[in-house]
Amino acid sequence: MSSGLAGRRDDGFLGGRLRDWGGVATAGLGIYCVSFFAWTVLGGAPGAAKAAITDVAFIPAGLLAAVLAARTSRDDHASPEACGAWRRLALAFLLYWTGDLLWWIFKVGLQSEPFSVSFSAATFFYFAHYPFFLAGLLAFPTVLRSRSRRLEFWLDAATVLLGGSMVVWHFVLGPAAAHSSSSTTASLLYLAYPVGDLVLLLAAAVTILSQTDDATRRSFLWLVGGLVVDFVADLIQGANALGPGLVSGGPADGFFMLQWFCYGMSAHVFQRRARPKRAEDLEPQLSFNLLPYAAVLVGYGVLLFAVVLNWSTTFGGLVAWAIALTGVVLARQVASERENLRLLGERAARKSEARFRTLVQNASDVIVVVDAERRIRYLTPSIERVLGHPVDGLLGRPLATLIHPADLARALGQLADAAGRPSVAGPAAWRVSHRDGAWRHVEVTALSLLADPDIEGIVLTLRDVHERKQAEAEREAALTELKQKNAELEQFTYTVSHDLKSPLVTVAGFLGHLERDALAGDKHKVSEDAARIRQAVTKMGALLEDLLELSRIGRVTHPSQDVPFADIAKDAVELVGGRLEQRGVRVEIQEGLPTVYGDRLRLVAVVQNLVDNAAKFMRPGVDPLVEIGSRGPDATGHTILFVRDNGIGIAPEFHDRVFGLFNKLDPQTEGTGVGLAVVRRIVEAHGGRIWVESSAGQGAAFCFTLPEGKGN
Amino acid sequence: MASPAVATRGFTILLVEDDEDHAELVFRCLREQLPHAQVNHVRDGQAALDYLLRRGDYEDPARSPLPELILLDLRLPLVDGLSVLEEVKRSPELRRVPAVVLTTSDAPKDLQRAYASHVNSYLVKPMDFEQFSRQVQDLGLYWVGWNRHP
Repeated sequence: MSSGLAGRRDDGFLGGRLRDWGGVATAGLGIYCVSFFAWTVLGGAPGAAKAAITDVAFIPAGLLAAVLAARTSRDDHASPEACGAWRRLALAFLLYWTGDLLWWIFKVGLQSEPFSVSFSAATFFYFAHYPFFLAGLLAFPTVLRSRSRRLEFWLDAATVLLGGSMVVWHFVLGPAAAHSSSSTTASLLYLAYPVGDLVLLLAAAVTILSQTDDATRRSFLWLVGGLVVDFVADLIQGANALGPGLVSGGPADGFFMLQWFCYGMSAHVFQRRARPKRAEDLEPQLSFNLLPYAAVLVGYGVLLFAVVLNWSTTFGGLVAWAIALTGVVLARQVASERENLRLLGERAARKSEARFRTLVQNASDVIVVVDAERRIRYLTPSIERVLGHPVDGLLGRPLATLIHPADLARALGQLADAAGRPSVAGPAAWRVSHRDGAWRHVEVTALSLLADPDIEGIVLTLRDVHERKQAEAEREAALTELKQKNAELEQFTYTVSHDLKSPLVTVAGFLGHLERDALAGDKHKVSEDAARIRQAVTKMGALLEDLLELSRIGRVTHPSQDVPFADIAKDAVELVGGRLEQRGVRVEIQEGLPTVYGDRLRLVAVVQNLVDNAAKFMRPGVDPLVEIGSRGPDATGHTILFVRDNGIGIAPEFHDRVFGLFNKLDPQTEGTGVGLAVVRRIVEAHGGRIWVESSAGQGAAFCFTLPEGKGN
Repeated sequence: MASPAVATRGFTILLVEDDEDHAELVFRCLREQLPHAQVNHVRDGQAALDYLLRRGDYEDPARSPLPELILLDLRLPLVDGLSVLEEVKRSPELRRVPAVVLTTSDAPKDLQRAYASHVNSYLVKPMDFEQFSRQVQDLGLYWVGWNRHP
């Protein structure tokens, strides 16, 4: 039914109209009631005419108040509980009004005395309004939510009932009854009304104390006002009824009328202004309700008063001691009530903290609080899961000890930035150290709560983004590799097409000469030309073979295995044996060569190529020597293998070009220039590196690394 | 037809070419056209620079007379053709010698780089005997016969 605190819903023509005239109606009611009150109190002695007017005057007032209450119960702004409460209040008012109506009907219509002692219909309705009123008051979202609180309320209500009735009877109604010797029933009847009002007052008091909203309080204060007025009216009425006799048009009736104004006002204020909280939103108001204690005190006060007036030592003494006893018990009650309130407060605080703690501890991000000196004051347990550090190990340590040195300056900057402003600084990416020594990427946001007395620190939220960063890095690397490969491919295509063109130019050229020479009959020249053409064709063929070989390197055709490098070297030397012998090249294979893991055939091709190369670039005047060996581990822990010669060497500026495709440093030598490119491909396909160490005239050492095999 | 001056004049040409066969082709054509021309042949970029700058093996000026035309292949061992071209055009003396690139490469980037270094002409060796002969002949006719040289 309620639509919360949003704008008012348009509830149709009639509803709209009803809403609009509320203020006017309440104002009208006010004027009506107040002037009536003035008239009854100030306007002369009650007479028959006054009585008649009085009896009928109640009819519109009570009805209007009931209507206003009904209107409030249909308000969209109020919570369902409040609407229900006002419905009951409206019903209570209506019942009371029915009583007034019946009174008038009996008195004027039937000309009978409705106020006979016997239980009359009007009295029934007057009594009936109490439980509904009480139900209405208690139906507001108050703190009577737990059984113990409800029990407390009813006990307090009983206290007020007993104490209140003591006062009312002793001072007002008792004397009145005594004077006119009314029956016990009548006395009880007229006692019941004011006492009932007192219970309602208690209920109203409990309700007010639980409302935190000023506007709601104001509405309830009007209600309380109405109840107080009613109480006074009932007292006067009771005194009159039990004493000199009921009189219509007297001050009592003035008060009765006023109460309608108060109730109407309360309903109107509630509807206009009140925004009472919903039951779930209300925090239990831990406040001290004095009314029951007042009732007890007052009751005992009356007793004391009566005893003092009719003093008899034995009885008086007993009563005095009984009062003292009760006083002490009361004091104890107050003390324990205070303690109770304190404990409840503590429990509520602890519960809220426990809730906070559970939420924070179980968050997947790590929450760190550092103080002004950037020391760690608080950590969530999730730090253990993310970074492996136990919480105790880090408390009190400077935050800087966790941060990667390269990120430290930036991180401290972010903290300083956060300290300077009220909003969140970040997110920024840091690396923080894991317990096992590795660095993990985290995303950090910082919020300064240095000024907050509960925290006095900067709150950092760390989110583990390591996997994400790694994936990003991998993607970057893959992208770069792809670009590189593409560039290589372009270069390759360019080089290849160019180097195949050259022999074709030769072939075409010499074919022409061949033709001419054939026609001229120059046989010698014809053979020469033919020879050149043949050579060019052979060169092209060799080029294409090498290219095919090069492309084949990319695909793994043989499975990898552990092979002693010495075996590979021996195989290679055997394959090149012919040329080596031809040129008188000596080969030395060192002792203690390691075992490597790879494609045996391909690795043999590598060494073969390198030895072959070495044999080609011999230095004149020096006995050519080729050494195959290994030396100590490089920076990454790999053993370095080499093929070294004492030939003409390679100047440093050409070290890179040596491995390029078709780059021959000396055009006179045989070969197509693809050899070293193939060698590099094979070594890199095994995950190794290859480079040359040489300077002109000093020989050359081709060094490379390969994966280690087992058995070293 | 060739002007009479061409047929009789002595003329020094430096041919920078690593492919023997190609060099032979050029020789034969030039011999027909310019019988009195002296064609000096070097086989790599390093040798070309040594010759032109008169250093290393070519210190003796008798061995390395300043050419009146340089025919330059691009893909050379040791120092490549474009680097030689840059060197030549950088030197105030050498830049006056016409440098003609004679290469199998028709790649745009080689063309761009050559002209960026102020090459005098860029020729692509055709894969046809007739055309090749014609090209070299015209080459000789133009640069030796028609072209004026300071």
